[in-house]
Amino acid sequence: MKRVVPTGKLIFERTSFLNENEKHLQCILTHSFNSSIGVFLPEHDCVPRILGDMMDDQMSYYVEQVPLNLLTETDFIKGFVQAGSLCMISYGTCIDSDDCVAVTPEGMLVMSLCKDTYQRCGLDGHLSKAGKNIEKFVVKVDLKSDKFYPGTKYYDRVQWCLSQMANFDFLVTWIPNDGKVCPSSIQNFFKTKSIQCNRLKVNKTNHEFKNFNIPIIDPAVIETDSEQKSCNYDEVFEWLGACAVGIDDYEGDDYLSTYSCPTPNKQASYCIYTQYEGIIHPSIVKQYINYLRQFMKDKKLPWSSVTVHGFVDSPLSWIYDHGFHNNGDNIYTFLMFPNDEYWLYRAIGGQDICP
Amino acid sequence: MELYCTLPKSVKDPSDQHKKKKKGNETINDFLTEFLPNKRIKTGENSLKDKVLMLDSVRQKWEKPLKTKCRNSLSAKDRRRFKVFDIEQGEHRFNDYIPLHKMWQEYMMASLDIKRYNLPNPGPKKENNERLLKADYHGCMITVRKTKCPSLLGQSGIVLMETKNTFKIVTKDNKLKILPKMNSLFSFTIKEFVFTIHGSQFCSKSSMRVRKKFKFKGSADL
Amino acid sequence: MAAPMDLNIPHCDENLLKEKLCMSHQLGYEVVAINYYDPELLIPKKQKKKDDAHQVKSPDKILPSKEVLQSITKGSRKPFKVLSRVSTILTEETQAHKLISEEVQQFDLIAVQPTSEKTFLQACQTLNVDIITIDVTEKFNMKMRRQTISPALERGVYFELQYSPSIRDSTYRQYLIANAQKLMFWCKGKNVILTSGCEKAMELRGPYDVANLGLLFDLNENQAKDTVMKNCQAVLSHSEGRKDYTKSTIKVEKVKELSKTDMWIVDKSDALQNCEEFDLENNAVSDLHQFDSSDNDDEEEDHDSDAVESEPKKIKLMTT
Repeated sequence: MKRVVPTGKLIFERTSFLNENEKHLQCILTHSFNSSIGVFLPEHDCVPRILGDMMDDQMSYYVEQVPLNLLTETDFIKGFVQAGSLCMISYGTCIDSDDCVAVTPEGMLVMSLCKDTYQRCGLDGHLSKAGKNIEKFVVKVDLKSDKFYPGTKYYDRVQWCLSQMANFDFLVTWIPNDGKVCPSSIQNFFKTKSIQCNRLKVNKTNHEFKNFNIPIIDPAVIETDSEQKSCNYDEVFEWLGACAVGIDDYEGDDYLSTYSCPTPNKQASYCIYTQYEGIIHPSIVKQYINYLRQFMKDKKLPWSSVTVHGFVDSPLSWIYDHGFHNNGDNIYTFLMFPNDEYWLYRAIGGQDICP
Repeated sequence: MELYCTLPKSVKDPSDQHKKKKKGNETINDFLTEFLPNKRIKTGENSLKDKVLMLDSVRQKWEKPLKTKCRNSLSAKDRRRFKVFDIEQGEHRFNDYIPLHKMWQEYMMASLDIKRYNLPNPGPKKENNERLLKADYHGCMITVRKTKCPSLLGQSGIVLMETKNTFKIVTKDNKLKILPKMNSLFSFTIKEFVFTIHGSQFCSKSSMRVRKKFKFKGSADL
Repeated sequence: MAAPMDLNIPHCDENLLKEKLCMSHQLGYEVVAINYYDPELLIPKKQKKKDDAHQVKSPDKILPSKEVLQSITKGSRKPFKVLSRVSTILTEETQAHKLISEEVQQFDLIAVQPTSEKTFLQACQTLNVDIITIDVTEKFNMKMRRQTISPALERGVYFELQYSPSIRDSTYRQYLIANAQKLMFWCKGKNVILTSGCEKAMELRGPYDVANLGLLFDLNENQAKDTVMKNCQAVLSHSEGRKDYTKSTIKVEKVKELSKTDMWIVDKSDALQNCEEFDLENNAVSDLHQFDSSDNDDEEEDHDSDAVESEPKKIKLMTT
């Protein structure tokens, strides 16, 4: 019997926000590269304005042809890496066939290099652990380290090696530590180095559902039993995915589709799913989820869900190496309840390491 | 210690108790226990049981036959002992070897006809390259271009010695470095051409390379 | 770069070729090889009908012009490289020497399709080719043994299976699967590439779909993906070793033609850069050569020129 690699893995956790040992903050903040955030509100007709403004106010940029040694210059490190939380990910590079570069908010420069580039680069790295026999090498440089300053051998070596590498296009978002500093100073910095830097527009998609069946979910019951008080957790996840794509009218014709809303369910007059795409900083995701928890309690919604997608081509998913075999998912979904309990789903690729 | 001494009386005396008929081994064991020095026998054990001493037809210890090697050259051991190829710490000066490098460049210009590389016809180029394979690289300014070991990348210097598996170079910082040939690509420039050597295929002594026939072995991958 | 590649797009007239190249670029292939199929290349002269010397097309005539390439990759950020390839049928062992001729070696890739057991053995063991094509339009009759295939695996020669014939005809589908499974059994899934061999643009399939097809041939997921990516890259490096490197050892390039990322080699290779001013005339070269001043004129290196300490033993040293 041949060992079959699964197409994807799903990790399910059920706990409460009030629990001291819970790791929801860790899950949100260590997932550095978020490409989209989607919220589903049952029995409600529109997403609160504050959440929309939060997304629109976020400053994210698309920078073209950045030489990598610029990221190790002292003024860049002092001005941006150490003075705030910087998220950068290379754009237009496929994780399974090209070199990918990213900078995490913790100040780590991560490069996932092909064998050829690694052998010409000169920096020490390890084989990617995202799957067996994957010939990609991960090189990490700690930009915030005390030992990383001009004059040391290591710094000179890193500068020299990075100057031999090609230029990359990046998606950038930066949140300064000091509230008085404007995030657009990073755009000015790139402009002074004559690098093209344009503001990235956040794409918004809305799916509205009217007279729609929504599942009844009891936070304490994960799997359906004979009494059928609550839906199965995996059916709910699949149903949420269907809503995210905008599938609403499937209950009619058996010929077209045999899919139906998981039982037990009830009808809701209005539901809405809104998705924002771009590059979203993890601290903004944290604010978003906190606000939504309060909003859900105020409006007395039965439950609400937030889904955050990571970049398919990111070199890291949470803190582990990420790869793309035929599935590059690194998404997580919080299904939140008014009593501060939540269900957390994490979906990753078949060959990635479980966080 | 007395090597020679007279036999004890009890041995000489035939009517001694020890000589009463006992089972074979017991007589010998008792005899030895009585007359051997105490240190030879471990107390509390029947240690004489397995002690065997060959008295006759003992094989001599086999000595390895001496290798009849050609004694015209130094062996590796001798080379290390006499430090034939070592250069003292203070003597690693890059500038001292620049004349060697210049001489090598002249040698290369003389043995190769660089202009052939500008010709469209690949025939003379191949002849040139075959001369390169047999050439001597002592004095060449070599750089590591691509390698499986990241710390070796970018090392460059004048070749002082070429062994079967390594290049010994002196870098511009006046340091002596030893670069393994395996799993690396080395580059050097002559005028406006860059030559790249695949180290793994080049693993032979410089004197042996003249005679060796290079066969096409495979990919340019490391 | 382990990018998805399609190493067999047969050469045809301009418009059709352009369509195929556009389609392959859209599907995501980054490197493509245009195949010039010449079945008469290795036929002995006596059997040829015409008396004219058989001329092999040069790679320049096969490759599309720069304008065509630019029009295909317009507006796209992905790189697109087009290589040239020649493939023939090998019927007799004695004719294989023609493959070493200059005209054939100019191509980026060389592929050979053996038709008998002896030629298959010859292709695996000795021939200077990059790819061995397994014919999918017929059932593979030759006996495959570990001893036949292992020299090919060691040398870095890859076996090719084409999937486009199976799209055209159902019998070819059966042959493809049967031949492929037989091949995989003996080579354990290594050294295999899947290519198209398409006659129309519609017969091309995306790289991940082709990798999925590999699962039908008893390959596991990683091996199946490698057939389109990593193994194709290995074929290219094998061809680089054959073409650019003389006897797979030395390669020559012009400094002007070096890529931007390689220019540092020129800086590092300059011995006199940043060095103190050097006066060759006054600096006695003979200082280095302490013992044998007569060897100054020799071009070859003398081991004695390094500092040699006097040895207590009297041993006659080898002089080169």
